[in-house]
Amino acid sequence: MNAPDAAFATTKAALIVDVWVDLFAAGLARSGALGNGLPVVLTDTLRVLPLLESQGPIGWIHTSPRHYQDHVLIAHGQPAPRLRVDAAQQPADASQMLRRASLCLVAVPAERDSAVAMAALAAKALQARASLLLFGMPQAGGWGAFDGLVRQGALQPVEAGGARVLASAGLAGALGDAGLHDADRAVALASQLTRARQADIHVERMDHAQLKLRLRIDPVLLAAAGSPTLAHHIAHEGRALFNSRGLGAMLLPWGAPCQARLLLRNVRARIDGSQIALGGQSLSPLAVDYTEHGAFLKLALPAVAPGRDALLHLSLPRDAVPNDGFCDIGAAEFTVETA
Amino acid sequence: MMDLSSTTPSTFAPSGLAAPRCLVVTFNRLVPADQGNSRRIMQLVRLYKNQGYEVDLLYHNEEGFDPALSHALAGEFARVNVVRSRAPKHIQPGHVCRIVDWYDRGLDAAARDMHRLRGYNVVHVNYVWYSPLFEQFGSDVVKVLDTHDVFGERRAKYTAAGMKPQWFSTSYADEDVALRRADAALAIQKEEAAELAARGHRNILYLPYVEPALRPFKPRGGDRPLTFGYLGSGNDWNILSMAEFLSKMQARGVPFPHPIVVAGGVCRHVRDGTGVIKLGFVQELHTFYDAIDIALNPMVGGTGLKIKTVEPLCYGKPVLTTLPGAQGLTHLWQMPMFDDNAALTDYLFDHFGRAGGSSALEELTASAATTRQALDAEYDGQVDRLASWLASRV
Repeated sequence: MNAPDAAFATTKAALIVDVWVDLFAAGLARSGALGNGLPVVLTDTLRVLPLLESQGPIGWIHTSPRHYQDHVLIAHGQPAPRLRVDAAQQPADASQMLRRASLCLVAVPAERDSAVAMAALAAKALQARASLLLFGMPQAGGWGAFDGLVRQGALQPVEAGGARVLASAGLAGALGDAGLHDADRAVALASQLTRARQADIHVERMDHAQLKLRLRIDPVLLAAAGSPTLAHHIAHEGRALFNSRGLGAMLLPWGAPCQARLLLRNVRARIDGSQIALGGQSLSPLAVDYTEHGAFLKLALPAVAPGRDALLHLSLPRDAVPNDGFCDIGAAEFTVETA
Repeated sequence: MMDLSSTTPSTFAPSGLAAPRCLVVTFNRLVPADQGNSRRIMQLVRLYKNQGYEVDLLYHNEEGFDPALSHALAGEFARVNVVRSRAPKHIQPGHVCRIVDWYDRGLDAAARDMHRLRGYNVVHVNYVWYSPLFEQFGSDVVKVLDTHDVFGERRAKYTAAGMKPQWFSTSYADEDVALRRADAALAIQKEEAAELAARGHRNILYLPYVEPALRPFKPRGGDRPLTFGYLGSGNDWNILSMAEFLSKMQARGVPFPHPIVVAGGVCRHVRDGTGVIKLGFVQELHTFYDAIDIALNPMVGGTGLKIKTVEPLCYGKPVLTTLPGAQGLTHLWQMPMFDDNAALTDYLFDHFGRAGGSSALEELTASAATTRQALDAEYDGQVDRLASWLASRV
C-alpha cells in the first residue's frame, strides 16, 4: 500500500469507528454485562446505534442543539420519541441519566467547547462507576479536554485501526487483544441477533479484520421529523413519513460510508428528479427501480463529515406527492464495508 | 387507613437536582378530559406536578390515538409511550372478572424500558386490574394505586337495583391481592376508604375528587327563567335514575313551573315531556352550567366517583341530590339531601312549585358555597397527607 492509500485507509477506519463501537456495545449488552444500568451516549451530533438499541433503551446526551425528532419502537405500541437530552438545556436530567449509566460511550468531538462540556459529563459517569469508552478521529480537536478524565479513570488505549479509542480497564479487558476490530466477535454477534430476531444484520468476513455488513432496519427507527406535526403523525401511523410537501429526513446508521437501498412508497410519479443531500453535499441516486411495492432508491453515501449530523435529506418532486396522504419509506437496507 | 401523621412535607426538587419522576399508567384518553375517570386522573397529574414531579404517561390505548391526541399529551407529559391494548378481558359466568384476565402483560416490557430510561420514583396506576404492573418495579419505587371504585363484588350493586352487571367486578380475594401490591391505594370516597380498611388493608388513603372552582357563587341574574339541570352520560344508572325522577315529577299531576335542562348522552334515553329540554352532548361544560341555576342529581344507586354531585360546585351552582348521589360527601354536605326521588320531587314542588323561588335559591347558593369550602378544606388536608407520605418515601 502506498502512502496516500494508507492514509485513506486510516481515515476510513476512523470514519467507521461507530460501526465497531455499536457491535462491541451491543455484544456487551447482550451478554448481560450492563446489568440493569443504562447505556448512555455522549455526542454532539445526531447518530443512531441500531445494534445496541436492539438490546434495550439507550440514553442520548447531546452537547449541541438538535432540531429533529426521531423515534424508537415500542413493542405492541406506537413509536415514541428517542430520548435525547440537551445537556445545556437539561443539565439536571443529563446528570440523573449518567448516575444510572452502566456504560458511557463518548463520541469525542472536533470542537473544543463541546468536548469540555462532554468531558465534564463523562466525569459524572465515572463517578457513578460507569464504564467509559471514548472514541473518535485521532486528530479530533476535542481529545485534549479529556486528558484529566483519561488520567482519573485510568483509561487505556484500545486497538481500533485508524480511530483513537480509550476504555476503562474492564472494557479494555473485555475487548481483548483484537481490540475493537474483532471480526470473530462481530460475526458471532450478528448471527445471534438475527437468530433472536433482534436485528436483521448479515456480516460477511472479507479478509483478516475487514467486514461487510448488511443491515435491514425498520425505517421508523431512522425517520427524523423536522416539525412537531410530522413527529406526531409518525407516532400515530408508525410509518417513516415524508411531510405533506414531500420533504423527509432520515438518520443514517453509524454515519459510515455505505450503500443504501430505500423503498419509497405511495409515490405518484417518477422520483428520479428528487433532490438528495447529506450535509452540504448533493447526491444523485445510483438507480431507481419502480416496482409494485414502490420505488427502490439506491444510493452511494459518503461518510458523514465529523461534527455533522448523520441526516440524509430527501425532497420528492411535487407531482410524486399524493394530495390525500403521505409518502413514506417502507424499507431500508444499508451495506457498509469496514476498512 | 395508614398512619400518615408522623410524616412531614419536604421540598422535592432543590435547584440543580432533577425533579422526581412519576409514571402514570392509564387506559383513558386523557385529553380532552371529558369523562369522570379521565378528569380524576388529570387531578392526580396536577397533584404530582404541584409537588414538583415530572410526570410521564404510559397510555394503554383502549380509547384511540391520533396526531391531535399525541400533540395534546406531549403538552401535558414529559414523555409519552403508547401501547395497544391486547387484554383479553374475559368475564366469567356470574359476571366475575379475574385480574389476570384483564391485565395486559404487553405493558410489562414497555414499563420496564421506560423505567430503565427515566428512573421513576413513583409509579401510579389506575384501577385494580393494573396492579400486576407494580411487579415490574423494585422496592425503591413507590407504588400508588388509584382504585376509582370498589370492585370487589361490584356486580351485587347492579343486581340489587335490578340491572345487569356492567364492566368490571371481581372477587374480594382478587381485589385484596391487588391492593396489597400497592404501597398506597387511593379511595375516592371516605366510605370506600373505610370499607377497604375494614377488610384489613392498612395502605388506604382517602383522596376525594375536587376540581378547581371556575365560577363564583353569586346571585342569579333575572334575564331568564329559573332553570334546573341534569348532565349525565348514557350509562344504565343514569338512565334508570332519570327515568324514575321524571316519572315522579309527572306523577304529581301538576306541571313543574321551571324548565329542566338535560344534557349529555342520557338525553337519548329521556322521554320527551313538558318542561324538559334536551340539549344532547355539550362540547364545553360551562355552556351547560351557565344555562342553569340549580343542578339535580337524582341517582338511585351507582358506584365510585360522583362527579355530577361535585362538578356543579365548580361552576357556582347548588346541587339537589339523593343520598346515593352524595355518597362519600355526606359528611361535608350543607345542602338538602333526599332519601329518594319521591323526597326530592316533594322538595322541588314545596320550594319551587310556584313561579319565583328566588329566596330558596339564595339559601341553596349560600349553603353550596359553604359546602364547596368544606370540600376544598378536606381536599387540601388529604392532599397534604398524600404529599407528606410521598415525601417520606421519595
